[in-house]
Amino acid sequence: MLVATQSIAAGGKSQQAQFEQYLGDPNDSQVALSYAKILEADEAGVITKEAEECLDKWHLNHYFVPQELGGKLSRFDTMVEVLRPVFRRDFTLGLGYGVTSFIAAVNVWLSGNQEQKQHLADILLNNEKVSVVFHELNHGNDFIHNELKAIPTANGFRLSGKKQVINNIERARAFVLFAQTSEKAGSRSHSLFLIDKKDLSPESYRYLPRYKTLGVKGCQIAGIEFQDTFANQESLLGKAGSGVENALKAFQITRCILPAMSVGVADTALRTVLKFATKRKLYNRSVADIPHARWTLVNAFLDLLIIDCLSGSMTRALHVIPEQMSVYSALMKYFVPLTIEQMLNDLSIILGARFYLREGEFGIFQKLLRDYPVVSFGHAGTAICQATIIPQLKFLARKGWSKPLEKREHLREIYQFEGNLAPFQPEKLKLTNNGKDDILGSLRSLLANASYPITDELRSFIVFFNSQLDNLIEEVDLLERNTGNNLCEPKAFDLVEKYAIIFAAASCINTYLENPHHSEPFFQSGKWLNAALQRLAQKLSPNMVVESTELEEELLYQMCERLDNGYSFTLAGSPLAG
Amino acid sequence: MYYQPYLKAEALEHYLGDPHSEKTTFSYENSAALDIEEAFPQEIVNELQTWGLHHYYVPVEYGGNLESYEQLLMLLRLVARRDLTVAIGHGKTYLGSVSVWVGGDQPQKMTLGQEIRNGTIVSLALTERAHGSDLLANDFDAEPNPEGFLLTGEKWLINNATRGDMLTVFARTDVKGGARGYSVFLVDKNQLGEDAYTCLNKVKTHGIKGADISGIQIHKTLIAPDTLVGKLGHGLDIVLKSLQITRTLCASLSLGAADNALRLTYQFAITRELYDQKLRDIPHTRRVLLQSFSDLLIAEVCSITSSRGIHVLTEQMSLISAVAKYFIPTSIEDMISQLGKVLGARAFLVDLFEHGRYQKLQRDHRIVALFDGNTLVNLQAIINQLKTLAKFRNKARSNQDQRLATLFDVTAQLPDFQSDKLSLTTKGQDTVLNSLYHVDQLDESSSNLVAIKQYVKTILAEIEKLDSEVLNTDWVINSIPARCFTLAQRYCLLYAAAACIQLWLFNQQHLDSKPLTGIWHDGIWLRICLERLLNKLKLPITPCANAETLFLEQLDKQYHNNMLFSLFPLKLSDYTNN
Ligand SMILES: Cc1cc2nc3c(=O)[nH]c(=O)nc-3n(C[C@H](O)[C@H](O)[C@H](O)COP(=O)(O)OP(=O)(O)OC[C@H]3O[C@@H](n4cnc5c(N)ncnc54)[C@H](O)[C@@H]3O)c2cc1C
Ligand SMILES: Cc1cc2nc3c(=O)[nH]c(=O)nc-3n(C[C@H](O)[C@H](O)[C@H](O)COP(=O)(O)OP(=O)(O)OC[C@H]3O[C@@H](n4cnc5c(N)ncnc54)[C@H](O)[C@@H]3O)c2cc1C
Repeated sequence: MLVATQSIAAGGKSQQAQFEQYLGDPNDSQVALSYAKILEADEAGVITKEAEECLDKWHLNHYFVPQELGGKLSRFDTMVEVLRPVFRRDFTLGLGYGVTSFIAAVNVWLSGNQEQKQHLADILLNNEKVSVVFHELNHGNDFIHNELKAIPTANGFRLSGKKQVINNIERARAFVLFAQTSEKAGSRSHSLFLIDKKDLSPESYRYLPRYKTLGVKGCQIAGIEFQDTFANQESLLGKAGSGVENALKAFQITRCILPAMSVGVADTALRTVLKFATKRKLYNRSVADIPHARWTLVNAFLDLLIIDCLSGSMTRALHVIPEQMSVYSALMKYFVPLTIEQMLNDLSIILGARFYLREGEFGIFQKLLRDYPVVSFGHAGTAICQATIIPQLKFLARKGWSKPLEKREHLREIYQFEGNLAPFQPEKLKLTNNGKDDILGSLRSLLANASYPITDELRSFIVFFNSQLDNLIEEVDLLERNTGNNLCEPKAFDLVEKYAIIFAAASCINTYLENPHHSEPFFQSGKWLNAALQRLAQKLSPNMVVESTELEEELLYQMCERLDNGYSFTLAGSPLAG
Repeated sequence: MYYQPYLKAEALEHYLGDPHSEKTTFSYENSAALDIEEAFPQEIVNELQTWGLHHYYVPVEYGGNLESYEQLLMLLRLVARRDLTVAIGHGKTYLGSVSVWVGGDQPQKMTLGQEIRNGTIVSLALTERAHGSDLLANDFDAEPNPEGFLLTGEKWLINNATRGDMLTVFARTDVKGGARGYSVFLVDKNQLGEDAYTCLNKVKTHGIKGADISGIQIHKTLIAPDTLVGKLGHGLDIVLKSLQITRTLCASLSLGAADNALRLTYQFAITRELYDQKLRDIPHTRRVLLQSFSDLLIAEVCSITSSRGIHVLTEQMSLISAVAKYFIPTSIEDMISQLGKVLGARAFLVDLFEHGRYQKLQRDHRIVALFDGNTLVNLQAIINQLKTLAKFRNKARSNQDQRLATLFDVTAQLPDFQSDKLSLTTKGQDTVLNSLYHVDQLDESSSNLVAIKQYVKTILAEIEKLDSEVLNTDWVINSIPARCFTLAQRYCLLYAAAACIQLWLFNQQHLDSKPLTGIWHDGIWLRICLERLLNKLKLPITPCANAETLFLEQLDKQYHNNMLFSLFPLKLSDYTNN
């Protein structure tokens, strides 16, 4: 995948802007992806043909296919930027139209042979859909106990069993299947398959009824049952028995991508509530003038900037330090959805009764609230991401967190918005980090590096987060001693929480420092950075409360400007349609 | 232990039957179906009428059965644990009538009592589209004229506005508005001419979908002078005092939802196998269950204290009701969302697991924090009193409120409620929190009690710290800094801790009931609940594995014996799920 040898230039922003314009103003009820039509479709439990055709015409699927296979995917950060306009409008459509296919496809880009890749590329380039057929209701995240069998025969495999809660299974042209290929229980008992439905005998399988869901109501989520279904030898992806390992590697990509795209949802939530708060008059002024409401709004903005720093850097880190993504992708999938969920909750309080209504000007908000949980529990929930990191904590503590990172050049690539990027090298993905953590290592070495313009305030934050990291190392050490190597104590989950916060802080600092030429005055001023670090610091130490109403004023002003002039709340402040 | 209010509650529960059974009208299945159809649960409501629940909305003096608010709260709790739509749809008649009980004259009360006993539905028409919480901006007019009052205006988001017969209307009687510019009227729709009013369409809501949330417009209609409730111009006073009672009773909705959510999740956790073990036994899940059970018990303690407070500490209800209405719904909301993470996909599927009970109760419960004075309005009500409370704290050290035993000993007879004792401020009095200065009965005869005694010290120190922060912070009423909301939140946690300590102290001697001795003995539940609260306050704790195990055993026992999750025994009508 992405085998080009030169580096690839960024271009996400202009493509995003074009796409935004193409999709049009979501407040204009005439356009296909208007909030009005989206709500109507949601009520009816459908994704409309009109909406899908609109994306088909734009060839959105091309962004899921690597360039060398005829698509447009060359950088993950670009892909995310291009997809955000869809997520900004309708999470259901983002998932139901496209990302499900991408989640499936990644497995093939990672483990497939040339023919398989080309075959899947052709399907996607033809605007067809692909399903991920992993989940069994009885086993959930416990992959190793998945029961659906693919029994090897003379010239292929015989499939039998059921998979449930599968998006698009009925309308997908092909699917990626996770199945048990060996009776011997263990991590090598399962394999992945890419199956084109055209190659299956139609009588040998059937679809199970569609499920009704709380959110993403338009997604067609159902199941499939195989009864001695014959799948040919060519459908096996990678080596037999490599299913768990390959799936876990593919997850490292999707666990970065999906949360990063979902920042679009947060943007809409904040926009909707800010609009309400500036319009709604209470006690002779606007709600946005009530200090508590203002504080909530500004915090939401800061959270959004924080997770945007994470999203940009982690989607680029996939290219630059793929060997460290087992931990980073889990941090992403843990921290971003959790932050957005909390943000949606806080914002809902401002909206008051309006958040409880499925109609009217702010009716879109409750839909965001119902759709969003899919990001946090689907595709490995919060606790599972923490559980992925826990066994690695002690190695991280001893190596990555203790050693200052000496060479920082590659960090530039991770953090620069507009720079070039090395091609993604999937074979470098690893199942564990081996104690490596360049990002926190960079936090260790920042102050020793004279080439960065570090203000006193920033310096004190860097010192603070470093000392928090010292504490964390001690706590990991203590826990390890107390629990005899078994870190699966509830306490260990708290340590991951701390880790994620320090990690987020380091990501914000690096994003700021590595983009000295980014001309946007708001970004350059660095005030957002101090406010964001303040917010993160407070989560670690409630005593770190410093209130600056002046800064709050400035941030709110910035938000209102972006609302009025049609720019996103993300770092880049991208132009929006309408 | 014999807990009086559970006698009637158990009788109601028994009458309603097993919610899992097809033969039961008030079943989970029926509720789920009605929710999907967004239909009013008329048949279920009829059952409640047959049983006579509405008689509990009428004080005994006016011919009803309402003697104890603690009793009413427990009855509504059992309705709410099956379906919040029903509890809210039915309980609204109390909300509609309370202004009359608090402010009306004898004939009005007798008439309304008769009406309600005959099945008349009464609504509260307080809220207006453009003004929400800002009651003094309301512009629904009742213009006094020689023959009565001329009503003009709109009330919107009114429960049962369309289905109901009578409304208590909060209306402006002086065009200049102001604190003495509003009055309350008891309006009978049937006595208005056909053209006199228009009911507005049922609004599509996020939860309690079957409830009749609509509105009413009244077009220049004359109503008789005797519809005025209380004195002209005293509307705000009457409504604010009435809300002190209803806000307290809202706890029943949260308690019911909490039981429902925990029961459902526990059922899943003990049946679900993951990684060759039960989900319940994964340490992380264990912690969620422990926290949830303690959140539920803390909420119960606060509910008991506040509803008994209506009788015993009537003049302090401005504070007590605000604490209850802020603290209970928000902490239960958190608990419900944590439990949802354990349920995974099953929290999201509408028709798969137990009729999609979780997603319904989660949506439904979100209304509780929002209506009848939202979270922030209640926190503000606390903030407004923090300074006086802090100033009076010293006095409280020397004077012990003699009513403590009546308040906390649940076997003590409650005095009759006297509405004229309700007051808009508590004048610096907080019997519950200040009782912590008088806990000499607490001995140190076991390690648990030693720990508890230590926690009491921690809490007392924290009260002092909080008070001094309060006294050192300046704010103006109409621009309260966000930080003050945190102070109020901390106040509530301390208050809850005090309530737990006293409830245990005053009732542990009644240990005669076998099923619950396990957690009453030696302060087990108290210790765990205090640890939960201190944890939320970010204060140090020393958890004890043995106490946690005993606590979880109690959860298990209550589940398997079909007992309500509670500090007191109540047998539910559920069949055993195990
Ligand atoms: C809208 C929607 C669309 C979906 N689409 C697809 C699809 O297209 N293809 C597909 O294959 N699947 C799909 N799924 C399934 C989805 O991936 C699963 O829901 C998800 O994997 C979680 O499985 P589960 O809910 O069975 O949770 P379980 O595995 O039962 O986990 C339940 C809970 O157990 C706890 N837990 C589990 N493991 C651990 C651990 N190691 N440490 C600590 N706690 C733990 C957590 O609290 C977890 O939330 C979809 C689901 C939904 C709701
Ligand atoms: C399903 C449903 C049923 C209802 N039933 C009834 C009914 O039967 N009868 C009836 O009269 N009403 C009813 N209501 C209305 C309900 O009580 C109001 O929604 C509520 O009083 C709050 O008003 P609001 O939501 O318009 O919020 P607003 O008052 O507009 O508040 C908006 C935001 O401003 C901020 N804010 C407001 N006040 C403060 C403050 N003091 N301090 C800090 N911040 C503040 C908060 O962020 C708040 O969320 C119902 C509403 C719903 C959704």
